[in-house]
Amino acid sequence: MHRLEPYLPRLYRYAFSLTREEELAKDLVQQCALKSLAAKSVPDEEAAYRAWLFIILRNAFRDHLRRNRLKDALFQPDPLPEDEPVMEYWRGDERLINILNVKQAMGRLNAKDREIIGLVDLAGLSYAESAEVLDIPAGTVMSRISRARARLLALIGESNVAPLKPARARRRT
Amino acid sequence: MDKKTKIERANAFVDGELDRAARTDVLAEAARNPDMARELAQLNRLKMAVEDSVEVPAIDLPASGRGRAARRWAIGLATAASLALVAVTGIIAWTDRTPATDHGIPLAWALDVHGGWRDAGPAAGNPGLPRPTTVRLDAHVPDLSAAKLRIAHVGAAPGPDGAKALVVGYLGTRGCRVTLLVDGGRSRLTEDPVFVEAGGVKAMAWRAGRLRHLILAEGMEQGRFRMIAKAVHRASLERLPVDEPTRMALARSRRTSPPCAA
Repeated sequence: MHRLEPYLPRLYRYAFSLTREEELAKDLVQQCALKSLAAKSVPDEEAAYRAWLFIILRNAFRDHLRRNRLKDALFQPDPLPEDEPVMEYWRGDERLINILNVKQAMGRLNAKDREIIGLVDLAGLSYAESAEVLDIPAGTVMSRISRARARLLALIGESNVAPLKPARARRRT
Repeated sequence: MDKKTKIERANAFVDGELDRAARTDVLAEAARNPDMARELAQLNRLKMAVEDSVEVPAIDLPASGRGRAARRWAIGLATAASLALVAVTGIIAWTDRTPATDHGIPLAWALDVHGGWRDAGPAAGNPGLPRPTTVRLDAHVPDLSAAKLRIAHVGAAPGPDGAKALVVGYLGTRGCRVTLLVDGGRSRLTEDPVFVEAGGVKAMAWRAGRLRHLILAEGMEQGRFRMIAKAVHRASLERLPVDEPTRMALARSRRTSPPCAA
């Protein structure tokens, strides 16, 4: 097994968080794999290799946007200051946090929030590894993931897919 | 501590990014503050739902990657062997020339075997894949999918005393690799598990019936490893699948622990 292979699912999950399109995400992973296999210099240390792969994939996505003359908020300056306060504890119904609502809310989340959730939750990178991929301090990753989840929960709270009410107990006859 | 810091710390807790002292603080705070406890539960649930919200299709290396056909064959063979293994029962006669540690755990040998399948992948199992007619083990191989660990390798390796040992390699979705070794080697081990840690390697060994069991992982968070090892230990003694409470605990532990650092 090539050392790249165990990372393919995680790369795909990150790619999907960027693109929200299955085929494009697969294509990005393939491009990333090709570039890494063709690279003359590959990091020896596993953590560095892992971060390197995710950086290649991120650059491949940026190239895709450029080629297609698309703009993406991901690579624009952050309109929100890093010290924006996080929301209070979420008061929504916990049963709203289900896969269907999460899928829908992820699609409505802004690109930067999706990306940090993609790195930490979908690709399983640590804060330090995510920081390396995004070229930001690890402390900023901590703030970003916190705000991103708060906004995701807020979107889930607006969901119209309500949890089922518990069935009433049958009346005894 | 201000609200923002508290919420960020709760997120870091769920992501397994806090050191032991900070984790203890968060748990103490959650015990005092129902809002905090609720926040942790919601974040856990959210993280799990996000993880499960993306299905990963089959992805192969590009055509320039190597040995695709060989890999597929090896994976298929390993899968077939793992299915056969569960159905096979029997006896192995063993002699004891085990170069064990003080704990009766042949750690160097186990690490060697672990490294073998980890570095070479499923294809490495090919020469030594167990054949039901020649390797007969009454071993119980538990399903650890609740911990997001799937069986990626099944093989036989020469044991520390030269006879064959069963090798089961579990692969996680975040780089974790766990190896379960089962052989008939004699040692001072009993049903009570012995836990050892050396460097980043954690191992636990015990005896279930005639068979010595050894499970090990590299770079795995200690709490998670212990939980997995104890689940396997219990399953081997009871010869039953991992029960629901344990499955839930394994899933929770996986969500709240960091990826393996091996």
